[in-house]
Amino acid sequence: MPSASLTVPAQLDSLAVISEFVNSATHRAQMSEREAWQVQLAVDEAATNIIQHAYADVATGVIQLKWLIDAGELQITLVDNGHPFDPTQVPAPDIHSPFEDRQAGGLGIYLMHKLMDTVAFDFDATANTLVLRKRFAEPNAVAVQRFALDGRLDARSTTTTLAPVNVALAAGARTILIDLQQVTFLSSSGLRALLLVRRELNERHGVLTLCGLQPQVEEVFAMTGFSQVFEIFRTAGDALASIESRNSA
Amino acid sequence: MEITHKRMNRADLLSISGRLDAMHAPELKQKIEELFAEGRYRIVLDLSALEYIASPGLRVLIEARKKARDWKLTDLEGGDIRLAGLPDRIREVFDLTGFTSLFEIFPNATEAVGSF
Repeated sequence: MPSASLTVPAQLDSLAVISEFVNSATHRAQMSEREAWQVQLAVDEAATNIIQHAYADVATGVIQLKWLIDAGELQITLVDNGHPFDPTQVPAPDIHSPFEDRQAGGLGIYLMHKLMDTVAFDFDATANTLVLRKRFAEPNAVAVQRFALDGRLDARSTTTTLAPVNVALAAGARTILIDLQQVTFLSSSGLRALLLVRRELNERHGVLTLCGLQPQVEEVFAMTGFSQVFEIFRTAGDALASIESRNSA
Repeated sequence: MEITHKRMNRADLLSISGRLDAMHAPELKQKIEELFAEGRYRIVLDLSALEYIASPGLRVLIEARKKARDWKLTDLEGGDIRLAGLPDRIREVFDLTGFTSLFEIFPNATEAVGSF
């Protein structure tokens, strides 16, 4: 199970370091940009509470953070040695009250609950422990989506030939293997379409892998310098082995 | 976080970029209070370049608007803090916390300044 720890001084200028630490977790979990932002905000609120409340009158406290990824869930734990402060006991603000009656406080805790699946607090004689959990779509658990294309990838037929791939993309695919063994011709439009698929997958921390290039197709990749841009394997078996080792890394 | 200030006839425009978190919220609070101290109670906050907001930032916004609205020119006219150009993520925080209905929000700074 991937995990990491960090201890920082309980000061507001640690928030940037904490943000980096959370970023390493959400990146490792291959969370979507939105999920990653939700976790960032929840942990930021939790850390701010510890700094401003648990350690309200202490200048030298620390926060110990840990993240752990297990079975499609990211768990982030924050431990401090300040005053016991149970954020789960703070009443939620009335977010429907009119402006005149609206209270300014309590929003951080409210956001933590909204953004995470569970927020749990515990304390003993020396430490407060806050555990935030969020489930995410587990990309590694989803089988590789494999497409054997047939025909020409040129200006006229690329859209049709690549249609099944784009359907999978729209449905949220993250790991795509395109087998080009039956593709006899690749033009710049075909190349551009493949680049778009690659870019879309990169944005969601996914991966596009190609295999089975015929010599004339391979030459187009080589001439344009795209041999180095794409993950290309000789056979589908080699490609799957590479995806497998990446997933278990 | 960076704040740039532009003085207009109708209002003062503060454009805020970067992160409005616990670390940086006090800077915005101070900037707004400087304007209040000069008798400037009509303020537009252009948030179009804001990347991130957390609850301490929200708190500054609501407290500032309460103070601005306490200043009255006539029964009908007075101070206010109006917002412009909310990026998606900021809008999402506003929706989650009910802030969308607490402020007058305009698509861009020009319209917000013009509303005064």
